Amino acid sequence: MDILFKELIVFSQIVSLLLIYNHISGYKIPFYNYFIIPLFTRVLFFVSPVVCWLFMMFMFIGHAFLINRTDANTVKLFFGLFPSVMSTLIIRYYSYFIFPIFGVSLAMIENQYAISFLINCLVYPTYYLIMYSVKVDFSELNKIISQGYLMRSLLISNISMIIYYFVFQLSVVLNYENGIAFRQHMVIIYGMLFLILMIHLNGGLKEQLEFDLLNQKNRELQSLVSYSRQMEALYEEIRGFRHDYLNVLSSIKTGIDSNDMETVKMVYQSVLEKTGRQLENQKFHLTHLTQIENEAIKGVVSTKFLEAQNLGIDMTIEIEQIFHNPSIDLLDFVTILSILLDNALEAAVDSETSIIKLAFLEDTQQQVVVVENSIEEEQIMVGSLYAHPASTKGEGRGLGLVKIRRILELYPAVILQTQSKSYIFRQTLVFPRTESKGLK
Amino acid sequence: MLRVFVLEDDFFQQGRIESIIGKIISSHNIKAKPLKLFEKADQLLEEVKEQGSHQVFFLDIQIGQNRKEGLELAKKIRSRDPYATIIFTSTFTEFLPVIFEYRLAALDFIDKMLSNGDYANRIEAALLDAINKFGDGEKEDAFYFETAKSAIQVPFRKILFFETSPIVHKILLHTTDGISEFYGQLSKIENLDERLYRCNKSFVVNCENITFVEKSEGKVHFENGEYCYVSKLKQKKLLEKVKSFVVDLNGDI
Repeated sequence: MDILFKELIVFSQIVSLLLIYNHISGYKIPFYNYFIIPLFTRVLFFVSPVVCWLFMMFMFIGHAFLINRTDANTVKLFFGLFPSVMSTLIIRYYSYFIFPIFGVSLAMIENQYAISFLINCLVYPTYYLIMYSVKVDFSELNKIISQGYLMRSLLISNISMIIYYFVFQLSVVLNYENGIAFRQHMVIIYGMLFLILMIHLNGGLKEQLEFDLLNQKNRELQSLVSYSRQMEALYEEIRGFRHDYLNVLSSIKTGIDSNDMETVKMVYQSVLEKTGRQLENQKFHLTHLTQIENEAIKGVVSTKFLEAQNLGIDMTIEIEQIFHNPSIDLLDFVTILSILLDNALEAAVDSETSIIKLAFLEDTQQQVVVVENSIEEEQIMVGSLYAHPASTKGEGRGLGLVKIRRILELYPAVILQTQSKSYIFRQTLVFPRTESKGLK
Repeated sequence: MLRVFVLEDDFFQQGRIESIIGKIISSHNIKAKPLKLFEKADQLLEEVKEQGSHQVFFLDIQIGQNRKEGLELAKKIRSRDPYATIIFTSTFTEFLPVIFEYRLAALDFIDKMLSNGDYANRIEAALLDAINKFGDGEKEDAFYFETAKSAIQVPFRKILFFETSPIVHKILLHTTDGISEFYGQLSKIENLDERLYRCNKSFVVNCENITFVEKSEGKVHFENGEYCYVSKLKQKKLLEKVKSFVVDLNGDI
């Protein structure tokens, strides 16, 4: 019976670690791993207890660093350390303070495997209860930390976790006279500190998320304001043109009435030809934007269009017919579009011809966005942009592409195409309209 | 024999383009059927009976009140005949170059507002270009791959190799002019065509586009300077395959 419980302890311990890790980091752990990993650990223990201990210690850190290549290192370390620290804290808390209240002494816990097993089974429910009651949610940690906010708090948490874990394990291994009392104090003090750190981190995180959301809304509003200003200016210009036009028509009419071909010719050449060209002016491309259904997309395009004009870039916008709301999450779509346009602006400025072409296409099966820009070199080796995201860090385009591909991970149906030849760089995104939901 | 179709609803422009094309055909001694002029897209479509790049279409984009009629017609022509030569004649503001290229691989766009001389030169260049294409009646076979989530189509001659993407469940397709990333598995792709060969755990190559295989390094090189890897065990088989395609090619010539 004891042997069975002894095995169950190891099993429950690893499973609660995995559950905590899964909950905090959001990485999906396939269900069979909840059997394989405990089994593997058990076998490892037979082979060498030290190796087994090291494996348990570094399992999550290793996983975080191997599987996830884009998060900041601090975040990975945090995810890697958190499960072990959290579970030891809970286990000790029960065995040092709670169970003795009911007359179950520490010695009894150590000798009775059933009680030990019970404690291990309580780890995840307790963890969940704590997280739930203080409303801690770290699932958005990636987004924020990778932008550099809150980095210091997280760093402090990491360092404190490492110190706690090592001092604690060291005191267990050395096993000197007052070890238990020391560990009890440590659990009380660090337990409090840990909780405070978590709440502090969580608060900072929520604040940052709200701030980001607000910023996003502000940017949207601003680009909409600038869009409506530009439209007003264009309208004014067309009104002026209409006025001229009527004048010209009447003077042509006088010419025709008096059969004076010379006047007609002159009026045509001096005025009409010029105004015709005026209407071809690229700023009238903005009027195409009325064909885009979504306001946020409209805002982004008009802002970038204005930016292009200021940089002296000839930007054209083509829209075949009404472009409806995209089939993917709007924020993701807008982010992708902004990155594509930013990259295009950056590259087009340096190129000789400075041209950007943006096109929105749509039919019943798919929506397509094409961003094309002129480049300095005759051809960019597209392969190098995809192959080593780390090595192109200095180059804006490479990094932007990495971000886009990260977002597209959620949308397996979307096709991303990157082409480059004869001084042109082109990105094409194809969004199928059927099956519109992301994997999220 | 050249066949020219014109879609144009403006009387003045009809005369203009008809006389220009007539002059070009006689001055170059081009064998051509009489030019056919239409004011309505449906009528033109009924008259199209052949296929090939010798069918040249000059289409105005805006017909009457329909601002997209020329474009709609071009789509219909393209869906029946991928080789037809389509040229748009219109005013600048109606033309959408990127969209037209994506949808139709349109050959050219000629602005009606150009002066007579320039206008004639552009039409001449476009016509001669179409005639030059007669010779290579080479069929362009497309690689088509469909998953539950999406479908991708590329001309086969452009394919260099497929590679598993660092992003799970996605594949990178390297072509002569770029890369596409889409959802799929290599195991589903390798058997789609006999020219494709899985030469490594994470690569499927198009044997027709390999320039050389570097045995010592285990590298496969392609025309644009890109390379991928071949596993030791599969080198021999790959070389055999590459050779067989070279022989086939010689046989054809």
